[in-house]
Amino acid sequence: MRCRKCAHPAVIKMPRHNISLCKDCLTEFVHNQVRRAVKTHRMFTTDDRILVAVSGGKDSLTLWAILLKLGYRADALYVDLGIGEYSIQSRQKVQRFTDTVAATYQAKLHVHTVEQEQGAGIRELATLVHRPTCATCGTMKRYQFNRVAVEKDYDVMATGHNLDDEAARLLGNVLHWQTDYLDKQTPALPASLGGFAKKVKPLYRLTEREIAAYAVIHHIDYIVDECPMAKGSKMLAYKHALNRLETESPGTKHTFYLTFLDRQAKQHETSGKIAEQDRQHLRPCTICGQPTSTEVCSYCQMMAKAAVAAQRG
Amino acid sequence: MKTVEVGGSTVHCKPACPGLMIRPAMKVLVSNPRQELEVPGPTRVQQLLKRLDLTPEAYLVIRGDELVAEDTVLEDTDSIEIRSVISGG
Repeated sequence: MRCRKCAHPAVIKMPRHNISLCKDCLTEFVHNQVRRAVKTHRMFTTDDRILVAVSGGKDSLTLWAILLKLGYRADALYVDLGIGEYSIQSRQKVQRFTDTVAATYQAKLHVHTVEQEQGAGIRELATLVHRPTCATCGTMKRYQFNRVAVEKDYDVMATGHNLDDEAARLLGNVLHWQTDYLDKQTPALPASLGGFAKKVKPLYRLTEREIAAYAVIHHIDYIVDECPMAKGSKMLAYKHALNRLETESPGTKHTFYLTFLDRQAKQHETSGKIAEQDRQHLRPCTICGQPTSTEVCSYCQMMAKAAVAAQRG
Repeated sequence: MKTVEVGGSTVHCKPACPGLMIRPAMKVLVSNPRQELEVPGPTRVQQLLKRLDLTPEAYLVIRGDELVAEDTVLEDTDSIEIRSVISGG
């Protein structure tokens, strides 16, 4: 199989674009998709300070690598969730990437250790507050990433969400007709009011397979094993279902999510609408000051509940 | 020799003593869930995935540390990793 662009030996076939690409042309393709995403949604410029949320997985480390290569000022934050061997290994991967790649760009890694700062790992916290571990983890990560981005004056926070993540999330929202969530499912969320960092997803045009291929050919050493807490999650079921459809009908995920974005953009100016809604409904949390729709934010409620449960023993 | 189910397919497992095998087979490591298999070659990447009933969109095939395309012929002497690309809960 030959590369459609340059006729060198291909390393990947991409049925959704009806092309096969060699290493160099895949690299160019991935960079162009990120450039296009950044430009289309005015995510950031080379003057902005970006905080990348890294987990040690392929998406976040690849995102950090690409942003640095494209000349952006990108630091990263790793949240150590204290999930036994999985967290130990993922932290090692992040540290190694920082030392061998990011450091050559003078990029910095911030680390937040949940066990150290909150007094218990994410599994213990989930047990204390009687919530699923993934939900507890989501609340923790969203809170800490936003907090660090705001406290350390980053202009924007970037996550490694890809086309598969967004298509699976869209499928879940549509299956349950969660229309409120659909409005906020966009690759760029504005810093609508004080205390909220701007959030962007520069990999939303790329599939997991394309990102993993980029990571392999650029020798990005990421944690291949899945988080043990994610086993049996609905998101994984949606992803498997979409991949079955994609194999039968290439381009399904792309058409599903990008057509949704096109229609959303035609319907209203998304970021303006979200900013306006946020200003109307959000206020500072009475405990931590971060924006929330209730008196006390979900993170502070969760931590208060955990503290009470821990005292009861 | 032990056999295991991967996807909908029965595949031979690595025997306790490889020296007892009549003919060599390529070593295949599948991630998530992690399994070590031995599959007779030669075979093309796409045929290997089909045989193991793995969705091509959800996997990459790596020989040594090189990514290989779907029409690549894999030999008995090759060491192969079939890496799942799906992540996230």
